[in-house]
Amino acid sequence: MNKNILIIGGGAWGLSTAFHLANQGVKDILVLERNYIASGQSGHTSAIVRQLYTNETTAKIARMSLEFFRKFKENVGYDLDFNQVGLVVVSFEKDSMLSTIERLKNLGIRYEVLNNESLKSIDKNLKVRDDEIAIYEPEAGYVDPIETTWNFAKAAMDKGVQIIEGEKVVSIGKKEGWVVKTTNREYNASKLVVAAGIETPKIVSNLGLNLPVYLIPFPICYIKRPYNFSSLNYVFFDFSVNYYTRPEEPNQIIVGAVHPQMSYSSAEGYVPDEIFHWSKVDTEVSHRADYETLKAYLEGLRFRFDNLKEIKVVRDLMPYVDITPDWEPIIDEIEEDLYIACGSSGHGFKLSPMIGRMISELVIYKKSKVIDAKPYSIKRYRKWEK
Amino acid sequence: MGKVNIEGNYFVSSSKEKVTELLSNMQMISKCLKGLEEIKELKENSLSSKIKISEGLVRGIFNLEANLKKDLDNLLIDFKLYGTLGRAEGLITLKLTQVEKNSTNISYKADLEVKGLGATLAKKQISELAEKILKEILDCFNNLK
Repeated sequence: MNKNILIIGGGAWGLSTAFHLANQGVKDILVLERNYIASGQSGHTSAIVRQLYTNETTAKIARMSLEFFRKFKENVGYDLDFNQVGLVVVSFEKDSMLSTIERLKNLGIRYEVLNNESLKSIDKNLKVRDDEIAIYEPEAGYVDPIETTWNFAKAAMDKGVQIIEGEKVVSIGKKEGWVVKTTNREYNASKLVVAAGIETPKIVSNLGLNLPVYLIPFPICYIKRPYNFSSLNYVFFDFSVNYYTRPEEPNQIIVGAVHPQMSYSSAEGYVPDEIFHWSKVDTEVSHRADYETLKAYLEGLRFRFDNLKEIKVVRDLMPYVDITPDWEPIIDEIEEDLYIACGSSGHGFKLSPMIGRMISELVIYKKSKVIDAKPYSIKRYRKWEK
Repeated sequence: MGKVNIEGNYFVSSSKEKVTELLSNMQMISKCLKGLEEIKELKENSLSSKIKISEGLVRGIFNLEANLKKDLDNLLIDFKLYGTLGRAEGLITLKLTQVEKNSTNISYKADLEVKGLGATLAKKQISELAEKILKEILDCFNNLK
């Protein structure tokens, strides 16, 4: 089967790319998903939409993506509930937080430093210590990640994109164009986009490419909202104790880990342990959060709320997150007409509207017009080589 | 998930008796641990508290539990440091040797096991951090003597 553009990956990045390509008039696009739509990272993300990033490019993309989520129906044609419940951040690193939000304010992102009174108006039970700072990002919130991914899929299909689920890519190679072999058949495409999340490094490895990507299992748990517990109706990032929460329906709260380099701390000097290198991780094996981790989450919550006595865990999961050494994505044309998007580093979903746009422009114009993609180029890793 | 071993030597300008006295008392050690807060229990042989760490790539408030033991000529610190980013636990063995009248060599060896997200850091970074904390305590003893 011959195609103009073939996209590997039916998650938020792959389908956002398909949508943006089709939306700009590109024809003859095929998306291959090895399982079902949003079955990978997109179906397991907490889907928090926020803008607090120390990396300016990422903050800009987060800003533009948030705006995209706000006008999702206008942009995509399908309704999406964007629960703009706001984000409260607590940290003991006052100076670095203040300097970060000052820089982000210059990008047009709204922040408020909360004092006792304003904090009480948001949550009267949240304890913030004297050596900590509390910041509020009013525009932040969360969406339904599966609905979002499906909406990109539906809008793409409306514009003629073909999506095939349940077809796993076995190998890719180059002849006149790109040849993609799956478990079922062989495809030829003029241009190939690999946006397959944690599977991306493995897919491109048969070209001799060894991407600097590490797969880290990130524990998440869902707890039952205790009876009469009216706190945490907003997104909460506790940078002091390193966890986040967000409301979940019905009557639940999602709790997950915040890695310092994911959001508020420089990744300079970060060297991931080689045991997490993509080539050493079996992605077919799924993990569960262990008791010790869940206990630490619950202790973290009790550290903030005196009125949280009984906490019931509903379920837990531990999906892989594909990270890079600097905790920023890789978006690049790595060989002629071969584009990769991976290494989302924990902020992939919230950036998906604009990442899809960036990749689509790389494919069409060889350059991302909406925002410069160079900071995400693979070339930033000097050691990276074929 | 990851095992880290560190070992080295440190000289303290004090007699072996004095250093042993300091290192055998958790209350003295706790005075030299930076970032210690919310102490739940502090006895001569044990400590249970929180500790605020803001060292390079490791940042956050963690729980700390430590117990002191003596084994022949060695002092043993059995510890557990844990939080949402995982846990590090292990045993630090300190062997004290009098070098001169007012100089003691402390030979240290630590076997740590790191689990959870903390284990994603390379072993080198973890051992550097552990060594830094240990040396801070010993430096502090130099000032306390």
